[in-house]
Amino acid sequence: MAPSKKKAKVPKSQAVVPRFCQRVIDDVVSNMRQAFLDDGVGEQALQRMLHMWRSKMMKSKSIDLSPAIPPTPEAVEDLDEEPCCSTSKRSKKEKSKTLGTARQLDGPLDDSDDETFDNYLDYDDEGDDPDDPDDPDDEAENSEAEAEVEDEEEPLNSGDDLTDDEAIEEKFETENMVACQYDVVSRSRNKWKFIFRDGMMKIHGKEFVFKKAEGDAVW
Amino acid sequence: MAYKMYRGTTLGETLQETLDYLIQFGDLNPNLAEDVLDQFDRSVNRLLRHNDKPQLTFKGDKLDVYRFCDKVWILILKDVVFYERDGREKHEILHVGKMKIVACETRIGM
Repeated sequence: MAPSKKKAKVPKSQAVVPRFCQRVIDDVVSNMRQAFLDDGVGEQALQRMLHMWRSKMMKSKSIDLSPAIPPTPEAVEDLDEEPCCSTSKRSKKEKSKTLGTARQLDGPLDDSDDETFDNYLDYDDEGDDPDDPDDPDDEAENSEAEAEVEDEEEPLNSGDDLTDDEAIEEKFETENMVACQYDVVSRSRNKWKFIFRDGMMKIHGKEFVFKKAEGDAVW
Repeated sequence: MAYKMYRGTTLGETLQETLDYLIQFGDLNPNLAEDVLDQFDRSVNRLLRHNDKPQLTFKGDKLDVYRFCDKVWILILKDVVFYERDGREKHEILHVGKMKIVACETRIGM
């Protein structure tokens, strides 16, 4: 253990990302195979798409699994000091070794084995599941989507009046992004409550996935 | 029709870059590329729904701006802390200065 520092744990919402991405990619490729064949561009084009997509994902630091818990907000991650840095450094070396390999991950010439994003999960087991089978989901929960805004629209008031379109757009600009669905967005006076689900986040350059995210904020 | 907002994620954007490149070099026609993106939407929506990915909680200091239009919320939150539950314990996993949430109405059976 590193002295005077807890071993930083990679949160599960981060740890599941590589496998999730792999699944999406595989699903898209196998579902598009027939269309590619019908279109005449064939398996070759499909493989080219697959490898380029995977390659871009590898290169984007989204698969970097050093934990995104800086002690101070907005801290720039100094990967060299992260306890997992040896992992990410190793991963980077491995990345460059495997990038050139053309592998077919499905289809008749399937030789897929371990050469997936999972290889980069090179840390211990914390929060790393065995592959979960694709159970049919309990969709009974929270089937109602509610958007309760307690009253009609108020103008953005007191000091928030932005007449300039650009200024408004600027307020919406940020690299940190969450795409998700909402079960609940409600407010009482200026206290807002949220229940989101099925979300993908990119925060400080790192990717996260969540089933449900519940929180609040003050406006 | 599956939600398209996941195209804005890294996974979606890398796919779009890939498709744009392939179109440019004649490997793909735009219609087929659009079909790929539609399939991406279906795959992502389905796989997100059918996995018990982690549950998080968060606390935002400030909701800076919001927009609600066509049943889509766009929210800018500032000074947000995210927690992840691990058994009985709750760990802080993230601290974000400013973030944007794009949320569509929860839809099932897609």
